[in-house]
Amino acid sequence: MREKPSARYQLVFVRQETLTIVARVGEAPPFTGLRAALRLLAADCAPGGGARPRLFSDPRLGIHFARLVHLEEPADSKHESSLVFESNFDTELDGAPEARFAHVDLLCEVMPAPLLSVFRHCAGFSVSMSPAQLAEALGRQQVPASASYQGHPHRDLRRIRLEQRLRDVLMDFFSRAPKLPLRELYHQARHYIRLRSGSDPSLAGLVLDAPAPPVPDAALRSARLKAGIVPWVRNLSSDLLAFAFSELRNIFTWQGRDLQYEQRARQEAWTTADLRNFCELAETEDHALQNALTHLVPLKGPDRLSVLRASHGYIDAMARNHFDDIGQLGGIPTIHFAKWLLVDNDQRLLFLSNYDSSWESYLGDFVDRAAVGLNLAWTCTEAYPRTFLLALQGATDEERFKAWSRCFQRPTQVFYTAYPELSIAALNNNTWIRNGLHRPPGAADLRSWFRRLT
Amino acid sequence: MPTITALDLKDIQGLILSGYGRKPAARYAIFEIVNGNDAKLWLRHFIDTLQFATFRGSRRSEPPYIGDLCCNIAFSHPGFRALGLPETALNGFSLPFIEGMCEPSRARRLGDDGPSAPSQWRWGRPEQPVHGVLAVFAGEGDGDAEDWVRIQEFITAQLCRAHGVRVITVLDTVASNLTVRKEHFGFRDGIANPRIGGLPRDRKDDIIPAGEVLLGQPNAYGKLPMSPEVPASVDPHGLLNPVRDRPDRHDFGQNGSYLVFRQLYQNVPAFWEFVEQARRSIPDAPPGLAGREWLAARFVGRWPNGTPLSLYPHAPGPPVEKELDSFVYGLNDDSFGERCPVGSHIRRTNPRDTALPIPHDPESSGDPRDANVRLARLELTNRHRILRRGRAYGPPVAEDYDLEALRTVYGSEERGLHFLCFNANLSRQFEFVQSNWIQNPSFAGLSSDPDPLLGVARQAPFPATDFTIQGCPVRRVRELPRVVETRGGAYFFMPSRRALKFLARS
Repeated sequence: MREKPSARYQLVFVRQETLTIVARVGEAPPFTGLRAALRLLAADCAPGGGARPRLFSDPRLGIHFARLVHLEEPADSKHESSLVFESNFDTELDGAPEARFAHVDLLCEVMPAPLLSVFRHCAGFSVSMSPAQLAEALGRQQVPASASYQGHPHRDLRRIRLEQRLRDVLMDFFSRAPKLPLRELYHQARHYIRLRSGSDPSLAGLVLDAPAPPVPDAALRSARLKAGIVPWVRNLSSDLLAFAFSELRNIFTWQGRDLQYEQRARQEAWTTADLRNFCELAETEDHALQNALTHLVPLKGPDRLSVLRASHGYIDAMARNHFDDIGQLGGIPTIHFAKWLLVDNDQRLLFLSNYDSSWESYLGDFVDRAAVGLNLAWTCTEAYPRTFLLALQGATDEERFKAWSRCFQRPTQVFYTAYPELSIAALNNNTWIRNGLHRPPGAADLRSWFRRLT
Repeated sequence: MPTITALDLKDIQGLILSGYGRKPAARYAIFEIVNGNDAKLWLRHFIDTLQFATFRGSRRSEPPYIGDLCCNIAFSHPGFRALGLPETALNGFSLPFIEGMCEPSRARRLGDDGPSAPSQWRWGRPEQPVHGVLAVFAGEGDGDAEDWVRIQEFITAQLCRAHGVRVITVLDTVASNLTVRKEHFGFRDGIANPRIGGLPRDRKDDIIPAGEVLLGQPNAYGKLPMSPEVPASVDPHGLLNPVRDRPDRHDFGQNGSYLVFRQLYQNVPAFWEFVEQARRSIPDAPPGLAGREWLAARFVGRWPNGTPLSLYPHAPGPPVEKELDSFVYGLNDDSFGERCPVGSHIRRTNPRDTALPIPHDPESSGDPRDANVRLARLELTNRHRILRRGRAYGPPVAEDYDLEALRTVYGSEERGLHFLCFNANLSRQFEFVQSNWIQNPSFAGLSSDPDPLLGVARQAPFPATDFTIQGCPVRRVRELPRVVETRGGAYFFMPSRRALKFLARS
């Protein structure tokens, strides 16, 4: 048995961590039992679903988004079918491994039966496992991300909900308020909220006279938004540059060899089964404001693994050191959590993201705002639209890129979102509104504060 | 930007490039193909009866500018199958077209639920084979009843058993001179339509590349849109043009366009009754009828006479034709919706230079006074434009669109809009506008606001019923009712002359 790292509690503020478990499915097609179990769980965590509390919604778990995906492989595939569990959760623990193990323990304590109902179909699990055994088995199957991103760090679920409620109360207050000078209106609102927060349980925890809880520093955010190319260069470590030089020959060889993704030929060969798969994908989408993207694509070959790891290392550094405070990953302002993982002995790249709005708008943002980043992330994978030296072109070929993405996408059978009506833009905006109420904005910022109430 | 090539106007069906605005009478016949071979024989001769877009290249004074009776034809995916189009081409169309408008998850995303659910539609229901639409236009000036008779006779003569087709329903429209270009809620309509690059003698503003509407032309990304192709071997006479980079394929889609057709019922009294009730709860709304007009204008984004709120926030302006569409929000100090609410109908369906998805975060969205910033934003929103060609149906409530009459109209007569639009990419254009802008409660940084006319209380992504009027202080209207319902619909594709010839002879 592997020894778990000891938990070290730190009382600064809550942060978010991400957990991914990939377990091999022990059954052969047609997976009747596993499919049925997943359908049951899906019904239990749909927004506005049944009368019971939604699965994964236990406040002790602090889960923002969770999903269960059956990566189904046909009988003749060289890969095995697997079951993926993802959770993005709040934690007060300092280290990532500690936080993940603690989260697995808690999951198995809070909801052992639902987890067992699906994982019992996987190798190494059995229906008679105790919660501790289940946690032990799940903990062993963790897969680390090669790059990951969080759109709203430092805000736990309680705070997100409080700030959402605060905005709502303010909207109602101002909707009835007379037209007055802004400063006067502001102070009336602040006074009203201060009084109300004492008695309204939905505003519990809001103490306007205390300083606002920590958020991405406004000045820092401002600087990063304006930074342009500088952070890209700053995150290029000398190791990475040296590595890129050593790979130049490979990169040029691939340039000549890589074929264009031939969407037209592929589309002409669509079968009824393909069309059914597209329907199945669409059916899992747009049940809440957020959607889950599960994307699995083989690498072009093992020789590209090191380049892929390097480019993902770079994306990870950018995501952690630059983009997390802005709330935009490479200019895309609609991603809550995203991560890339290498699975199946580093033969395939799995991408999991939780994003706002529809697939078409998400992919459109990819193409319009972040093509270079995407190319870096996926250029080493099969059939990716042809890039120029790994970073250019590629995703800018809009229809091909979207078709490629859809083609390698897998249905997300179980998707849980803690705030199915809250976009990341609104979530971040609510924080700015709340902070503006703690410390009265200066004359120049007052109008901006009022504009955030929308 | 892609290079703009001159369009082959005689190959493009006329309705794509013109709404035949001067023809007062129109009918749309939705039909089913009962015998593919008979239909192909009929089509062979019928092609010459169709109106092609040559008139867009000549002057009005040069006869024959345009036919007296203009008709155009489009087919659905099952329609092309019934006509025997080869499988490679059938699979080469875009996925929404193949799946159809009433596919369940698509219906959910388009807001077709509850009373709008496809199972409730009058036509286009999942089990009903809609194969095509014939759109016929006639008359001139004010028109007369004779025009309608002529159209009906034409439809009856063409769409008959002997020609292998059967009419499912004929959809009437209201004479355009009766509506003074207003839709039934009482607002000037059809103002903002983009123009296609490559047309002679057209306005030079608000131009989108031809490939945003026509297949076989470069689109906004400088690429040729995906297009249905056939193996060169099945086109031995070379009726179709070869595909540029694929010599073994001929392009069936070139110069054709996807046609979205939706019959939208409008509940006029419900809309105005709600406006009357809601305006009372808003401290800023003027009293009485003026308050009604004021609030309804916030919902729409224009005053009833069509003048945009962004230019005239407090009262309707003079309806100067060239002012109605030639504005951007950033230049009117309206980046944040303080003149024209960001959630208003016209701003959602065409956000122009609104910074998406977060207009009220000037740090990340840039300075709207900077022309480059505005241009960059326009470039993003212009990738989701559609070319509207709709007409109203059902009698107008009152000739002068009196507000009180609009609120109190009763009777069983149904009125609404036959919404037609053309685009080259259904997912990125029509469906994007419908699901990400009209129905998205978080559009432009909002939280629970759907399009106040088209998107209220739809299941996906969650039923939202608020409307926010930005300003200092902000005003929020709650519990908006559903006032527009879908009564029928389908995706069609309007082929080029070459494609029709190929279809008829293959």
